Amino acid sequence: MAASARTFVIAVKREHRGDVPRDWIDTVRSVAGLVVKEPVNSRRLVVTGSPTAVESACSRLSDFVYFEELISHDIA
Amino acid sequence: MPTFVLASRRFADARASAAALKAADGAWRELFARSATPVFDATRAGPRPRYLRVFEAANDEVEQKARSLPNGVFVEPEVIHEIAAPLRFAVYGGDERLTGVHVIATLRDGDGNTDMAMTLTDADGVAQFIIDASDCAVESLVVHPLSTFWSRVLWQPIPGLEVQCEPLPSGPHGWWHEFVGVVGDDPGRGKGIRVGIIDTGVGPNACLGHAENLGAIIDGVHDTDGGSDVHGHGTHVAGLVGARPLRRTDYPGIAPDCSLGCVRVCSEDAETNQVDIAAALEVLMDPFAADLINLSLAAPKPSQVLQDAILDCLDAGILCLCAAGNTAETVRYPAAFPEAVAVSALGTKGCAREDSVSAGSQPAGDAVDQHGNLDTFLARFSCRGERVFCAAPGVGIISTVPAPPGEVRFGVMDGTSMASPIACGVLAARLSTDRVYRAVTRGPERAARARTVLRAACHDIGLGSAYQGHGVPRLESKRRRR
Repeated sequence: MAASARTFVIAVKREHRGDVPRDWIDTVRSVAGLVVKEPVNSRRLVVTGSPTAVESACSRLSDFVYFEELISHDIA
Repeated sequence: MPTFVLASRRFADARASAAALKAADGAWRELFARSATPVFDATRAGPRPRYLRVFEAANDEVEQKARSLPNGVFVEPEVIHEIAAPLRFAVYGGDERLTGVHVIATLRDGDGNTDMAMTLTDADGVAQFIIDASDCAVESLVVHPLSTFWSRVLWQPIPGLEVQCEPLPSGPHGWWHEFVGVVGDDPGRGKGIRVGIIDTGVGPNACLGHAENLGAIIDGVHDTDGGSDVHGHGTHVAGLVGARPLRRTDYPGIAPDCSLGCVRVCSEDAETNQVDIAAALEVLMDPFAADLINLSLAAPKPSQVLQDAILDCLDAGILCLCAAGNTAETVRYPAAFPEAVAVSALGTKGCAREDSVSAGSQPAGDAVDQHGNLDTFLARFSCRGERVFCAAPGVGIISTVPAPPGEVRFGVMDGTSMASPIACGVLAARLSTDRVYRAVTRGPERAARARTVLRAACHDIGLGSAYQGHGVPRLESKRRRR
């Protein structure tokens, strides 16, 4: 059974902001099962999809990016 | 005259039901029609026929005639079934009934299970809970006016009770001002320091007319016109840093002459995420060019995205002060990042009305270690631990809340959300007169200097470092300056 879609952030590592492939956003878009939320930001993308799909996108971008789940923050 | 119901029975066989209906109609005509007073007739034909007539008649007459009813027909007294009766509480502030007040009831059923119900007072100032009062009771009621009045906590309130909320004290100074060393009027505190606020939005409130509203960032979309407060929290936070009083009785911020830049990242439910917060940090970095940023927001787990954004701020010379969190656990994120400044919350004896929500923030009686000097205590809700950098007032804190345009209103709140902007205001005031800081160009050294100044401003109040960090930041006293 396919894992249910969750929301993740894929972000460019700080140390790779200068040398991340210019088409990295297109690379993420090309991964089947991932939906990139608009608007896009040159440093990070919000995507929905399965963890497997997100891992697949990140593996295509080698060490340039990382991903994490969207984390809810409340007023304190 | 008592009311009765004459009815036919229903049978599985439709023909038997139809026969009973016919017999009931005959009984009505022969036995009751002449002497009884009809009320209404709810007889219906169709596939499930039923004779049902409601009437008024004398008891003894009905009792006697009931004995001669044919098979399939019966008469019984009308039984009133009421809908669950609403529990109503009228809320007053002074002589006025208060509208739009949050009222939260804790309900306990016969098995001891509890549940919460929330409502708002209506145009008549009445809070109404539609519950089955025969099955549960209201264990407590929390009444939370948005402004002007103290909250109230009532235990086992009697339904129909009139709840009186007492007015908040007038400014210009509350206990938190005194506690951090604000004495007298000095409208120039914080001059030249730029403070960013990332929260639920700002205003309107005439004491914050100078705040730069930088819009809202929700789901990655920057709406430059969307920065008005959707909750009330952000206006309170901004006012604690930099409200500028218009009247003698208005509460000033700790650094009223600082420049405020506010970004809304929360929707009406007061939630946000690391992506929108990171984008807001970028806006406060450029174009706002903040010196300090207050984040009264918290999450249970760290986000690399948010930590990266805070590191970017440090590189740009900006120090981020963050609420430690209100779950009484270890410090939450982003406060727990080593690059941030985590602020825990304190109260002091008498800082809130005894019957208010704020008064419940005192630590448990046996938590001796959570009581410090000068009747201070670590707020029961405050997060704590080795990541706490400093502590500041966070119980019974009065500050600006949204008001009709051109008007001023104040409300009371509790939380590390309040402690963080108070510490931020103190630091803004200290930095504005710190020559070294002002001379350092924007970069990591500037943020490091801000941290050093904050550390040096902290006064020990006798709590453990897990509760107070380095202590409470205070303004330089005039006596000390001399």
